[in-house]
Amino acid sequence: MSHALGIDVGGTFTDFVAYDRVNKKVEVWKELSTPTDPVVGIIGGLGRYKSSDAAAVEHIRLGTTVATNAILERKGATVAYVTTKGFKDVIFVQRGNRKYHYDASWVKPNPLAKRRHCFELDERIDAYGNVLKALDEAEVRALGEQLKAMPEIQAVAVCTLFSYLNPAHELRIKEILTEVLPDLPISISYEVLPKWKEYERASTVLADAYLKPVVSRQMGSMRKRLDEAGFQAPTVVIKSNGGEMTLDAAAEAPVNLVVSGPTGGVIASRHMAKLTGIDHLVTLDMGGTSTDVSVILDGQERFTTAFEIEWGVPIQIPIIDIRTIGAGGGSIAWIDKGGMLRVGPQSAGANPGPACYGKGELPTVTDANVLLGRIDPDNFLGGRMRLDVERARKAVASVAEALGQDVDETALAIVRIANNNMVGALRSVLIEGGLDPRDFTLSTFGGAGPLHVGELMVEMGIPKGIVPNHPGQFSAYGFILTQARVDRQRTAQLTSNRFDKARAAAIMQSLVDEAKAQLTDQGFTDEIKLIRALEMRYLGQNYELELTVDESTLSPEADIEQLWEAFHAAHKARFGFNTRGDIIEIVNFAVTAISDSAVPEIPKLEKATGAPEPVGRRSVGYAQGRFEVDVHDRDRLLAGHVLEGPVIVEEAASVTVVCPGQRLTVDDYGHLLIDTIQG
Amino acid sequence: MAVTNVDQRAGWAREGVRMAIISNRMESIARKMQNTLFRTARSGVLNTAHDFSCVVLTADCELLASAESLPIHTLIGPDIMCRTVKKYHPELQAGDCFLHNSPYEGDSHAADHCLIVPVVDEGGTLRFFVLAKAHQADCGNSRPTTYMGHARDVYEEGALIFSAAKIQSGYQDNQDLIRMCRARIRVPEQWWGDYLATLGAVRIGERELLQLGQEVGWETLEQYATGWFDYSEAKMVEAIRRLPSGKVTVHSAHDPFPGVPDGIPVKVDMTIDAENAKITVDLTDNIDCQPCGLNLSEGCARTAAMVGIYNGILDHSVPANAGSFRRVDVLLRENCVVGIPRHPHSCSVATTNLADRVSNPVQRAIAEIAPGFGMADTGPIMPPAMGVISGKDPRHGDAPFVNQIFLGATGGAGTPVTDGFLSIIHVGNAGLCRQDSIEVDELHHPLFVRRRSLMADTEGAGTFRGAPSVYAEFGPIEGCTMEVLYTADGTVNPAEGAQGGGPGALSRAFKRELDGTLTGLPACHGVKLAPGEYVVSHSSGGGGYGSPLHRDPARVLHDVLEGWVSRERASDVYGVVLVEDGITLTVDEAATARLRAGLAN
Repeated sequence: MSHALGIDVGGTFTDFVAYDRVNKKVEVWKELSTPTDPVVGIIGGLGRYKSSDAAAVEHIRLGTTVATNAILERKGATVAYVTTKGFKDVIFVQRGNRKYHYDASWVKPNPLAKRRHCFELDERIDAYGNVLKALDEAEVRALGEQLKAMPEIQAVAVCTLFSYLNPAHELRIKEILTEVLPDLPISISYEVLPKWKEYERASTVLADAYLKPVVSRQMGSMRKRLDEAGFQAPTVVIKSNGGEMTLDAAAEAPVNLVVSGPTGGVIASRHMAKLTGIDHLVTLDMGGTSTDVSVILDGQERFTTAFEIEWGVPIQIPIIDIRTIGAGGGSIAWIDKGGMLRVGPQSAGANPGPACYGKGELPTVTDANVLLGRIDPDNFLGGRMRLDVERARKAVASVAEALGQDVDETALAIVRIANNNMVGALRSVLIEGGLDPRDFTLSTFGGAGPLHVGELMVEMGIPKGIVPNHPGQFSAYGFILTQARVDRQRTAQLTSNRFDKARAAAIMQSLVDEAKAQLTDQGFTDEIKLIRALEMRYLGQNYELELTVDESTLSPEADIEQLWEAFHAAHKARFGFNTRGDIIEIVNFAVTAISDSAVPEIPKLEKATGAPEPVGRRSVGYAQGRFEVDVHDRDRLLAGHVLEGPVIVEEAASVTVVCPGQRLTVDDYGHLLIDTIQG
Repeated sequence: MAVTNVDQRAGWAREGVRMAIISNRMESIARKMQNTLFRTARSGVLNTAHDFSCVVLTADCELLASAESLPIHTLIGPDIMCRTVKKYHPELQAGDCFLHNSPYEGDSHAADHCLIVPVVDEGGTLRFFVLAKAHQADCGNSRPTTYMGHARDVYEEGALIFSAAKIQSGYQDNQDLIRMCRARIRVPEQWWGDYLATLGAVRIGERELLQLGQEVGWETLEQYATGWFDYSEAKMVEAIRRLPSGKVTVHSAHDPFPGVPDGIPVKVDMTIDAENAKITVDLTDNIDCQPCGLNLSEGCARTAAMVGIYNGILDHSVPANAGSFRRVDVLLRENCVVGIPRHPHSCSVATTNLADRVSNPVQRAIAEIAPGFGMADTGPIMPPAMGVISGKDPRHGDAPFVNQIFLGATGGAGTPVTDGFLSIIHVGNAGLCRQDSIEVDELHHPLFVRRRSLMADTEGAGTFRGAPSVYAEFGPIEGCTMEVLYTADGTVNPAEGAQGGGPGALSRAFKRELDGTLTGLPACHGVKLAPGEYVVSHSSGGGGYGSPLHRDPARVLHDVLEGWVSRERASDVYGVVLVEDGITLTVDEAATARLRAGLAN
């Protein structure tokens, strides 16, 4: 009972990482995904775990796309939406906010309920939580009967105005509807997201109800089939906040699964940051069709409550702040009507895939990397797949001809434009977030990430880079490192001029109690670590800054002026100015509880005694021209080895490209650290 | 002339990578300015509705980057304003900042305060301008609204007008101007907070541009601008060449308002010259400036015509900047109500009402010349639910409040390929402004919202229909008397359809009395509400595109099931016969074909 498994179900591959606690050994492998029934791929892959039998597996942690896909493909439940009289159209009016100025063809994504399934109740609570119009229980019962007569309804979402201040009506609606409709799952906004702004809250609770039947079904089925296959180990799924939750808890609150898989890479990066002593990382997870970008600041991942699963469809529970753009190895190069070369967002995906895979004809970023000599056509995926260089050349030549350029120049331009798209995403998380790239290390993973690390460092002005171990399975690797985590947040407005510290402390304490209880209810009883935060702003503003506070900040003896002072300083740092003397408003309280379970000990690499031996040499195209460069096999590199760019490091699932003027150092754990050589 | 040929293509390809990289940076700078502004601003019109814009211009005052800025704020106007700054201040220094809101010299209307910073490098050379334009909650008008539709002239309007007034030198405020604003703008603390937010935006833009110049070199940035403009022009050439050539005159009209009892007719003469890739909009054959606040500023007159063009060409990949503008001519006349205003005529409402009456016929004109392009009319505004509310807030010791709200406006126009975007608000902002949250509004203001709901059978019917109207009803809380000032167009002249599409529903305004009865209200009005009284607002529906008899019956069925369209309207207007099959409704194909054939005759 000493093996921990992390599994990440992706579009093409399901990745597996196993950690043997006794022998401190990490093993990674891949299995083809089975999109119609992901459990088939999971069980198939589990069967190929060589180092252990099912009985020795201690626990399984799983990244799942079931929730994301159910929403994006609109394959969730038919939901009845219940709200305050006069306001059922809130979810259709939304907030405006068109995506493009002049794109007449763009259609905004629909809300997750049909208008014919929206119902109003004659009740009203005011902006201070006072009941203006009491709930009519008979009306609620009548609605229950009405829903009972509608067999298409599979779940109910309830969101009434100002329920975050006074949940009495929502709670009673839930009780009554549960009595009348005992088999129908019901989600209420106070339990899912007790925060202000009715549209954002409604959209979030709708997503929860929309997902309940499908997630519940899949979690139940997975448990049963894992048991049947002999894998009786406790199995958890990864939440959007990077924590884990039991299958039962997931079925109860499925909205927590909307960003599951991609959090693994961020968690693994955080762990790597700690191991290597790096404070600030920006992570870039580049796959075939998309790239995810995130930030580790002061050793911690960052969270957002402004997530939108589609444009205008917010899901505002706390989620690891990951930006996704449509740029990957399969992104297609094309020439627009003004004659400019573009790359993506259209992708050749896994099928037909890049031209060099032998089926497609359109030039992609991967084809350009093959022509530039960065990918070895005979050693792709560890030689499991031979690439067709001539086909890649023909595809890129079609674009080169139209541009009047040679193929090499064009391949380089394709890579640089793809890089530029990723730079856009990096800038949006760093510079637009008030962070300076010069303070960061760029962590690249995913099959395609390490190919671009060197050039992205140059383009972004990021001085250091790192390629982790197992970059091709890094998310699944993150899952063996996750901990149980619960986030609780609540809107409650207090101002600095009439600050009621006792009330603030009581709200914070109630969130602490709730968060701890949620962890212990799921059986996570290891030492619980708490993080408290306040979202604050100047009175009249509409956006908040989050400040982490400690337990003593709201204690009776604490000097509250220090809190206001910290806010002034944070505002100045973020926006370049502050207005001392203005009233500050606390808007939201937030508590995170983490069960501090034991983290695997990562094995160290043997120390190098001499220089590394290259396994080959080939011509590789860079912005500065073509160079004959050494090619190294990552498996042969030892701690302390140093390589000067231009150089290539190959491994089974990825290739690291180091530019001229850069240097690669292998650290004690086998991470590839890249820096810029001065002068 | 920038006609694409092989040589040029090669040139762009070589420059393309660098162009894409710098372009990305420029947009990111504009976006960072915007981020700073809405995240730190104090008034709801900025931090909730996002009624502001941030742009970058070249040292020659040409519009270069504008990210998610509002079209009516930015296409033309920032260029004129920067030229005005140069005219009055030929020696520009680092640390300068100018406050400008004169509608006679490039600004849209007096409520849009612009802060303009010349980006001057270390050697003292002017390299760029950054400009942030923010709609004020109040601008010192004679009444508590930023839209003085009834003002006979700028004096009755009452706004403080600043013409390239230097509000900062050496990065320090000019306290004389600050005191002027504080003395004349209602709720001066809110104004001050918004000023700091806007200043933060332009200073961040300045800092980022200086850094970019240091990184890549100023000469490279100049070359980039030239290349980017040429590229944008080439994209516009391609877009125009997809249209047939033609010439058409299209009419529109603003409703009667105080000062213009017969309304304001608008005549648009449009020429598309596909061969030479040029679109000309002639607005000169229109009436003189009028004694009301509806006159357009030059910036809004030119921009309004261009908004219609960018909507109508159906190619959103054409960058809207000084490069693509080369392919558009908007002909204006001095002292014309839709031209260049003559002082002291008032332009208080220039960004919305009459401007929409220019954009809309322009996009309909494109539809007439080029079926399959253009658009119907977007719904006219501004109904009471977009009004400016003011009064004293009993929750905060009767402190005064004034702010524009965005509680309900829809109006998206039917297009050749899609139904109207539901919550576009109006044609000039392209749907980029936000609708208010009821929970936020009720906390920020002594306001109570009774209802916000969409109205059936209000859409302009069409192959692709317009957006339906939205109903909103709201009033003050206990202890508060609230004034709601609004300027609603579209109560007489609806949003017209294009290519056989139908008109959207009219806008309406009522007062709900204490006894619950409704009293009709004028189109341009200030209504005072006591506790228990409410104002009822119907926004305009959007016009439809193409004959409703050609609308896909499945879409009509969906509209009926969702309650957007009644069964009667489905049959009378769309010619679609629906039948009950025991569980739900289905389309009777044969009966529909017969009915449609009959209706077509």
